[in-house]
Amino acid sequence: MTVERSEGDHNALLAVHFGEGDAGTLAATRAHVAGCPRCQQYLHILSDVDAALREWPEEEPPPDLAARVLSRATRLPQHPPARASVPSAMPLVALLPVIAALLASIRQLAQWLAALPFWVALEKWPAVVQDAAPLGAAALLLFALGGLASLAAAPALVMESRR
Amino acid sequence: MEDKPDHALVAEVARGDAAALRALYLRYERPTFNLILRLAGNREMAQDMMQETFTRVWTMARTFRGDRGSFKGWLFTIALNVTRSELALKRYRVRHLADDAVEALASQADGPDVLLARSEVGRRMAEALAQLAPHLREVVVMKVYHQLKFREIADITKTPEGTLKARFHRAVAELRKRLTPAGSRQP
Repeated sequence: MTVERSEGDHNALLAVHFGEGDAGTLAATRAHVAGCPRCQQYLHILSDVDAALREWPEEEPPPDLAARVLSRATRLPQHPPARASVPSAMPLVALLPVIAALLASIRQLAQWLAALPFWVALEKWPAVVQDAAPLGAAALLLFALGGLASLAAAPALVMESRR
Repeated sequence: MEDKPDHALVAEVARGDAAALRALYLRYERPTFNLILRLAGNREMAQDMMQETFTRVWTMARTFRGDRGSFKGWLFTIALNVTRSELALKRYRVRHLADDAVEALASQADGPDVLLARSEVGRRMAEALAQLAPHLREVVVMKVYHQLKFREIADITKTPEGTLKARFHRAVAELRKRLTPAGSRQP
């Protein structure tokens, strides 16, 4: 096997060389290698290069490095802790009560809106529209109120993020 | 202090405890120094980068999140980022590093015993590694000298495992040409 062979083959041999991966796959690869001169050759290449590199032993840091590094590092002030980040994928389950409460609010508001007299104007529309109109109006109203509340809170949130 | 786990020590560093930083430093000085040295190929630069790395550990200890990985992985990520920045900043491109590495290995800053110990082998390896592209050198150094798993290297370098393995194969092909005498090389 030359170094130009496919990556999949090479990765399996890499796993064998470094002993990484599950035992079953390693055993299967080793069984294949036993009868494959090209794979044996690539394993030899890996071993040769690995062994050559390992001839460079670990080097000792200068004896005075610790004192220099530590004395300079600890002179500096420490950064404040990281702000708690918002979870990237909040579990849907946690949102269910919020969604349920929102839907209940919309329904309640829709019932209150439906009692108002101006829906008479929709008398000639299909029943589906007449039923959906108060719901739609309630939803729009709630979202508009939510948007206004966000705008009102924005300056405070910006100030908080800059602290 | 020496018996405490890494996470406990980092928490103490985050509270401004210099003794905890010292304990962590002594625990990881050698692997960190050798990681940087093999990436940079230059002892002088490695010392500067050690300073910057542990300064960041001190100043940023409060941002360490133990639930996201080990302290060693966090430390190596910092060391790698410092090394990348310094190499880019000082324009230590791969082909230029070899000369610097050889020069540094012969530096009079070290005693004769140290120089003797790493004279020929250190010189050859420093040259061979320095001629690799930085992203190939990183995976070879972490895999061969630090015995990290590809998954751990992926966490440190923020690179997919498959990409790292492909880089390792390319590095092996290049190192083979440089480290193995042409006559003894099989096709």
